[in-house]
Amino acid sequence: MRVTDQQIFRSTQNDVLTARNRLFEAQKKVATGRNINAPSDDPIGMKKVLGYESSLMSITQFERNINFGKSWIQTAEQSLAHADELLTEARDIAINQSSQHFDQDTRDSAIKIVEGLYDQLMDMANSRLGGSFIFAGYNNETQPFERDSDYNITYTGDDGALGLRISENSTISLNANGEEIFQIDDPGGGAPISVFDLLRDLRTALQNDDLTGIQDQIPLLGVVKDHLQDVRAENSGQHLRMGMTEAHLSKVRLNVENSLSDLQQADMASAVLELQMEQTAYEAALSAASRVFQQSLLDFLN
Amino acid sequence: MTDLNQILSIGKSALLAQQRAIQTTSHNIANANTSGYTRQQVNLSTRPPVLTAAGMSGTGVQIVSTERIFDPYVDAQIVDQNGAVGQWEAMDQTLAQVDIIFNETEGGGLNSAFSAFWGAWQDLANNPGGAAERQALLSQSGILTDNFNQMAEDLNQIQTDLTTQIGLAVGEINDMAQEVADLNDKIFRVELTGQNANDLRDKRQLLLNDLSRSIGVEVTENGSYAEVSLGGQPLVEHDQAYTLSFSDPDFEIDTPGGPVSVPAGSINGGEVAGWLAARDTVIPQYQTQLDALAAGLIAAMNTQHAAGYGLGDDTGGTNFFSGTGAADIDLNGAIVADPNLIAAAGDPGGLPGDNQNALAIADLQFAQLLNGGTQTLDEAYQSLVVEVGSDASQASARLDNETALENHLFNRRQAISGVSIDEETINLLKFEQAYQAASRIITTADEMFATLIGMI
Repeated sequence: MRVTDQQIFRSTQNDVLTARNRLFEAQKKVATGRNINAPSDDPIGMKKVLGYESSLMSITQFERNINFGKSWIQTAEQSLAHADELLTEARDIAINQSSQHFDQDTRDSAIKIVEGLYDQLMDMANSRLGGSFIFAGYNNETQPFERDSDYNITYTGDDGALGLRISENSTISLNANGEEIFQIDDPGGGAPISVFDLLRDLRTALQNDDLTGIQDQIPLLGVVKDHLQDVRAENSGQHLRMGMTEAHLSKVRLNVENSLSDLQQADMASAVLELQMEQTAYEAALSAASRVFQQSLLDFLN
Repeated sequence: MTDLNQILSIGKSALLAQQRAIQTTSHNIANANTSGYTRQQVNLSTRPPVLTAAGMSGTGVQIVSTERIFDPYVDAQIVDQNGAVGQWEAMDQTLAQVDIIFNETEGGGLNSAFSAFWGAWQDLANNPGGAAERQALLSQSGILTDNFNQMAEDLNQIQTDLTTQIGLAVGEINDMAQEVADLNDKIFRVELTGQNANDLRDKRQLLLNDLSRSIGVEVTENGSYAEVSLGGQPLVEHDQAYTLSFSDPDFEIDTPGGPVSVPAGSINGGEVAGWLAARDTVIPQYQTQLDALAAGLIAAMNTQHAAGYGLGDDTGGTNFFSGTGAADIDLNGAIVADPNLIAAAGDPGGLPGDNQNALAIADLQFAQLLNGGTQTLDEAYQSLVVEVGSDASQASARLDNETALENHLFNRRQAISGVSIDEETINLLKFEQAYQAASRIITTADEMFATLIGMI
């Protein structure tokens, strides 16, 4: 086949330009450190990259939620643990004062102590986490427990449970129902009894020298302690569950980050090597081009 | 004496013939790099012999023709191939722009905006009474709607630009068609007198290639004329060019018999075909999907949001988004003015700790809302990105193929019609030698004359 000068020139030009283009692509890879620089580079890969990035952002959010949940439960736990101590003290007083031995002074201080315990218990029930009351249900910007001068308690919260999403497949419900937490079922089958009412009744019994009344509170206080124990156990279970989810999320995060990196992160060593190769190929193309143009018949004619 | 004259005459014919041959060879060498040039070859043949006393005797050399060496089939293929390359070039360039719109590799973009949006709802669920969380949610929502709006606008802008380009191209096409008509006329006149119109034909062929590149025309050789038609309708007939105009989305040719419509679907190649396909078929697919994504988001969000209650709110029923599609999706102005209307609560009264609705809304991230309940919003968007990337990548590959074919045809044409400088240089030597020998003939005849006269 005849080969003409224009053919040679154009072909050489194309080859040089192609080599230049490949060099440019290799440079881009090294400069950005990324394998995929546009959806058209690798459409399916791009989809995966977007998916992985979404997942990572979701995981970060779940971790935030879990941190919040754990703080909440830790605050609740501290409050309830202290409440337990207060109730133990109340029960001890009840036991002490329920004997026949009557001493007006100790009686008086017992009443004072019980009043103090009542108020401290109220503080615990009005615990806050970052400005919101944790035992007020959904009405968490209003103090849930208030008492009057006769130590009657009122609860202004509601029964709302705080939901929390800790992973794509699971949510947690935090028990914020102050009313339910600080009350027990009546063993006699009547309406539920508020813990605060127990203390109020103890105080009243002490004031009235009502030995039977005092004695009645002792088992009830025991039931309260058991009930609080149950609540704390439940919270503890939630905490455990969150911890396990957190650990799991950590592993998932690692996997996703690895997959993302494999896909998107240009292996620097091989990218630089490729750059070298393309550079060499480009120089070879240029050199070949210069040789092609050197000679024609005219060089040999006189 | 007649024989001597005959010898002189033979010498003269040789000189002239070789001189013409050298002229043609020089023309070839001069145009070695001219685009579209077809090499010319002088065809020599013997002059008719005469009857002499000694039998038939040769009378020298004559130039029968200066021939243009070309293959009309290859030329026709090149015209068609130009159309294919033009079409895919246009498509590739346009899709490269769309590729940029959907490119999030440098950060930002709809995918991360979605993730941040859902995250803001979760943060609100953790503290429904918090003013900061509400502000953050408004901010992230704004970023999301801005992204939608921007993408819709960018796609629209590309379409507008394509329309402008087509309009401009039509002007150029008319200029080229007119030039082809003028050349048709010149070539016809020249060839009528029996002369060759080689260089004019080269020029016309180049114009036809460019014309085809711009819009896929059909060319028919008709003697000296090249008849050009578009979608079956005449564009250049003999020496007349008819005006093409763009009456969006079709075209119109103003023929002597009245305006004729050329539907967009009947244009088979050229940049115009590529632009039209991109503007009217490919981009609208993306716009539809983007709008469906926005509409799905708006519908699901508004339904769930209206079912909840704002802070301290007893009525509920507020929409979160306004608008119907990607171009006009926006936040409900009432919510921007009063962030407390953001319905985080599930029960009337909107207590500050009630996060039931916020949780339900955050869960929409994982709900399969689109495509007949098979894809989440994130997945639907990611699928769209795959589609854009695939189309752009395929257009690029197709362009490479068509360009490779174009190069192949170029080589084929060069093999037949291209100038090889080495070859022409040898021709130069060949004809120059013959010229020198011919001048020798004349000097020899001259000496013979002198001898004869010297004898008298």
